[in-house]
Amino acid sequence: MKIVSTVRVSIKGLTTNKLRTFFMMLGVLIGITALTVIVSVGQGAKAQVMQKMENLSAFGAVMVIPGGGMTRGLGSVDTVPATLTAEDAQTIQAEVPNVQDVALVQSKQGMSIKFAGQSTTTMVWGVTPNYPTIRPTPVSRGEFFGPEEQTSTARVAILGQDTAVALFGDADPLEQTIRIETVPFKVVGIQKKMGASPGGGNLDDRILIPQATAGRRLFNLTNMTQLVIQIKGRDQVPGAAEQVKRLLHERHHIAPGMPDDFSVRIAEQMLGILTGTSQTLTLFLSIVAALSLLVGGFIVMNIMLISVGERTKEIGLRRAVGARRRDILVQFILEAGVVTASGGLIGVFLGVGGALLASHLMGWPAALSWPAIGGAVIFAGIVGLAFGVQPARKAAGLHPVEALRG
Amino acid sequence: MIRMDGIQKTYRVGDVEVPALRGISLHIKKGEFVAIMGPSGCGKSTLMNLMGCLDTPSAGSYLLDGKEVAGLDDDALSTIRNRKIGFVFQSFNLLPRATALENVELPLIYRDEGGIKAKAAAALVSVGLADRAQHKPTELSGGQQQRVAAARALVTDPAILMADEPTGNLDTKASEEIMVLFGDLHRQGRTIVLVTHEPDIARHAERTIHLKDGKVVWESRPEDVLVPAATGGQP
Repeated sequence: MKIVSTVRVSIKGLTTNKLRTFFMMLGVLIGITALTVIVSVGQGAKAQVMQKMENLSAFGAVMVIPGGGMTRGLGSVDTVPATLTAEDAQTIQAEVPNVQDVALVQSKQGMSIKFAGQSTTTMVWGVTPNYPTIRPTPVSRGEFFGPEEQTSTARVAILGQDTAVALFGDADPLEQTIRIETVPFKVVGIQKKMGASPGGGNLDDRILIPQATAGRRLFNLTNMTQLVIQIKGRDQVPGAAEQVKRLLHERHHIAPGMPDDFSVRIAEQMLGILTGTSQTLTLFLSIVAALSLLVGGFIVMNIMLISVGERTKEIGLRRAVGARRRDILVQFILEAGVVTASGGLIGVFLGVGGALLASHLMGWPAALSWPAIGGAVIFAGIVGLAFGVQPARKAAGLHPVEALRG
Repeated sequence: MIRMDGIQKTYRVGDVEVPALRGISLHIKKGEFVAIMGPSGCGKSTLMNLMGCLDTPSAGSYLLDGKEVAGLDDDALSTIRNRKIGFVFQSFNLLPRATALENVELPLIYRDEGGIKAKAAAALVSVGLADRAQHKPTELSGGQQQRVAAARALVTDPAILMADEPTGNLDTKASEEIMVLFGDLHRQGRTIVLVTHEPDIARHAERTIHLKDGKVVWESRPEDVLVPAATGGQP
């Protein structure tokens, strides 16, 4: 018997009882749909973080923050351990090879900002003028401050879009004087809309001022909340990070066996931290979906067993007209395989549609991973074949005479 | 065509061995139309299953078309059923959701050859159902269903046609039509073996083998049967 006609016989067997075929398909279909949506959204979330980090050129840089913990995002200068200094930055620049540039960040949360009658609270970032060359900080109007403003501790500020709107509404903030706490600052630039940082912070709700101004006129502190080190060549980053770590370990006189009072991070690591949770969740949900696929397999097996019982006479007849055991076996295995494979295929279409709909309606990122989707369909097919074997063996094992009796 | 020698078939029910056939020896020539008769439980269905290669004997020799089939395995028996034997059953055994044509195609699916549709259509023509090819069994009368079954049996051009109580589910008129069809097939040179318990049906055959308790008790020809039947007694 040719395989083509066997497939035709199997499909015929399936189409004669459409409702039963539909129920057989359902479990697998739901499993594959769920799997496709979960994997797509998971992949999309990862791609989104990757894209943000690429946008921020984070992959060529080493970040140092005070404290040894796993804090993410930028701390506040008055609450972090006051161990990271500008001298650390100078030493790194001088002694670690492949360092191109080091930017200082001195930041503080919850600063009150006032203009005319309006007031708001936001994070103030004191950054060195080289900061935009390491971390793109595009300015839509006005200009980023330069080295003179840093040296002269000029009271100039760049406003994030959201902060500008909160203070000025539709009015033009440029050249206006605002007060941070009680200190007057002139607005010299408006930052372009940047969206969320990879860590989730809003990069449009902040004020950037020269780091020297921040340290001396506003915070009256000398410790830093972050050093951003630009490395020459992306493949040098891990080695440089290791050297930075060793250097600071020595400079900060960390006693043997004691934890460091700083953390060195590279973007690849950050990526792991940032996507780790969502990856764990994706994995967990995928396992649940795979289990539902397994349940689908059991449903297929049960309905196939019922089907074999109901079709005993048909099996007897086929045997009487010359079907060998093998023909019956293949017929029923193929029935299960065709059901699950088509259930899987429909599931993929629904899943892709669902993922796109979710990304459209709820703004979830969705990236279609075709290898993963192909794997899911193949898995569905394997489930079908594996669970189809037992009923098919039962069918093929029937004695023709007894089967004919029904 | 068929030569059986000392055929025995014993079924095992738990620890008890139940003999169904106790040494059957018979010879059916090519082109013969033979009926097998006997009361229920005489073993005629068992004999039919053995002749049709649906089952294997416990002992004895069975030469079909000159070849010994008593010791063949399941695959070989399947092939013989497909090549040499056509079955017609009491309850028609048509696939309920398939059309008449698809039902007739069934045996050909298990062969590696083309022209399935044409052969099946020709077989339907030969039983006079050309205009019913696309009908489902439920849309056909009992007699028509049995003729579809006959077409299915004939489509492979088998050496032997085996009919197990083919008129058992039919009324008198339809029974008569089926037996006329069998008569025609016989005249075309087919070897036909018919199992029945109705003397009126058996009379269509050239020869009747009477079975009782798993043994051949006597043989008769239609002209023999007519006389004792007319006097109301058994010889």
